[in-house]
Amino acid sequence: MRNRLEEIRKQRNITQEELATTLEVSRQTIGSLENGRYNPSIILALKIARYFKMYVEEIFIYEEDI
Amino acid sequence: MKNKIRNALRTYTLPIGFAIFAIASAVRQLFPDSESVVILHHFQFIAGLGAGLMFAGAIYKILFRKNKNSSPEAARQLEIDEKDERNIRIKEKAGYASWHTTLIILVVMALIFVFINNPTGYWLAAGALVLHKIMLMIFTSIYNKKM
Repeated sequence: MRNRLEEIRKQRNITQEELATTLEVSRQTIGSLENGRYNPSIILALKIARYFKMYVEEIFIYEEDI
Repeated sequence: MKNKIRNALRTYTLPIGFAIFAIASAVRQLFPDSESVVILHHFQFIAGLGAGLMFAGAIYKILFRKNKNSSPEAARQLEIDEKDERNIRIKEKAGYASWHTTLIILVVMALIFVFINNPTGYWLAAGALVLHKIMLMIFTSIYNKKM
């Protein structure tokens, strides 16, 4: 699964620390999400989508193995 | 990075100290006539080292809690770190990996005890393996009902 978290966060001039504090996760979690090392739980994905006022699918893109 | 090291020290010093102390003490008990073996000769010292680490870990935890109470920001960060889903997942994965490693160590220990003809050690290691299987069945059943 890839995501557009970094792109969206930078568009809105939000730092990783600010996003982490709002979502009540560690800054490392945001970093890992952005570079694709970690896939979020459904709850965290929904929290992120709600924070950016977007749909989950607009941020997280599920790609099936071909 | 500094926080990571501090967190690791706070979390692992006491259990590592305990593990060293327990293993060294157990080896010392299992090989009472080990004076001729050079490495085993030092196990008393290693047990002491483990006890020292346990003490240091406990003191560090007490100091950390005291410090945390005086700084609400640090307390909040600690709470976030404890509830952070990635940290929880990391702990689960690390736990699973260490569980597998422990099993391998137990099997190796049981074999060593057979070869050196130490029935107490063998039964302890084999008993721990059997106990592990029983606990696995119990917890599987519990979580099967819960999830």
